[in-house]
Amino acid sequence: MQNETNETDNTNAPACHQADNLIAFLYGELSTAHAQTFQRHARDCSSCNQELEDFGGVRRSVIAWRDESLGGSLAAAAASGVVPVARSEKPSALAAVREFFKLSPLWMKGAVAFATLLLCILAGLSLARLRTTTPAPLAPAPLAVAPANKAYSDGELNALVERRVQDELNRIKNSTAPPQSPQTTPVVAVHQYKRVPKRRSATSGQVAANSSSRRPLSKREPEQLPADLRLVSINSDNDLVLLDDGINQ
Amino acid sequence: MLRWERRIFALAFGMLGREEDARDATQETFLAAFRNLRAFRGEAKVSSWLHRIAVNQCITRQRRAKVRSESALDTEEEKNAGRFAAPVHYLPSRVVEGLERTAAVRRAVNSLPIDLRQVVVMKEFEELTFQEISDALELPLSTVKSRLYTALRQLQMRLKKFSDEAA
Repeated sequence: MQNETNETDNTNAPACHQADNLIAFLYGELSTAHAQTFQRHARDCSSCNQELEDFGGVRRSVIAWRDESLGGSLAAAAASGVVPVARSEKPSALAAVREFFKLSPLWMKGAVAFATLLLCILAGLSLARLRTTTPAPLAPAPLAVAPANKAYSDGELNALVERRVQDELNRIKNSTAPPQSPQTTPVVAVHQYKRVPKRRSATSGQVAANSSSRRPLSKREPEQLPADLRLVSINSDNDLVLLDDGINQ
Repeated sequence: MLRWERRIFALAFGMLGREEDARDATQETFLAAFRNLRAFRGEAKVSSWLHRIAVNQCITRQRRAKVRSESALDTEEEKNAGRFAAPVHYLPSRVVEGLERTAAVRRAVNSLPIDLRQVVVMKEFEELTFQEISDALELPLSTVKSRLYTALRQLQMRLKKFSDEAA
């Protein structure tokens, strides 16, 4: 390629040493002072004068080709999206999002879709949880008792009062009844020792009569009584296995 | 990026002469720029960097086209026949003459060596200054001017030959 250029350079060597100024003058890139100087030179230099005319014609042809072909191509390319026409208005947010998804790769689209799905699920769950924990609205709670404005007949009223009184009596009876201990009664019943039942509700005269009618204990009964009551004598304390001894050992 | 697309497309169209190729080259240019964005160290201008990539893309495409022996000019000429519709007040003879002239210019530009052609395209299609072309191609200013001089001279000779043949 360089050889091609060299060959063309040899065959197209500038006829005048002002070739650089000629080109700069042709394209209007010469300063005013230099342009005036070159114009004076071109009046006297026939080759520069001729080249200015020829190159001007070439430029006009090239520009005509450019305007014809590139104008249509640019419009077609702009329509196809390769060379977009300069946009004067700002694209909307929706258009920007679309453009983003259009340009983004497949994995990014998938990630965004997954994140969106996850967000929706989380939002739904939190909403459901919020509904369950929210206290009931301030609606009037159903009353245990009948509303005051309900009208009762006499029979209903009497039945209600009677039922209520019966409930109260049962409750009082249950609370005042002495707890029955099943162990105490058989112990006394098993042995022959019979206790005389006390009569708390007896009068003082009757108490005196009862005390006089008590039979004195025989000799054997005081010895038998601790055995019956399973009491341990003081002498046998040492025979007891204490819990402390077991722990200390 | 959008502001560079039109210029890169113009450059590619001037270099390749076919609209489809120019579109593809434009896309490939920006793809290559995106891939090599880390390699851009900011020492040169973005425009110069993009131009170099675009020119390389065009050269690569032209080499591939040569290998495939594609005749881009003939197909493009047929394809663009309808596009170059002239205004109705033109005489048919002048319309034909204009179409032929345009086709001749296109052929003349496309037959230039690549280093001359890119200077012509950058100057006429992109309307860059000599200094900008010099920066983009990393060439001395005088080299850019001499290349453009040579290119214009070759174009003038070929167009003159076309005029003589037409006459």
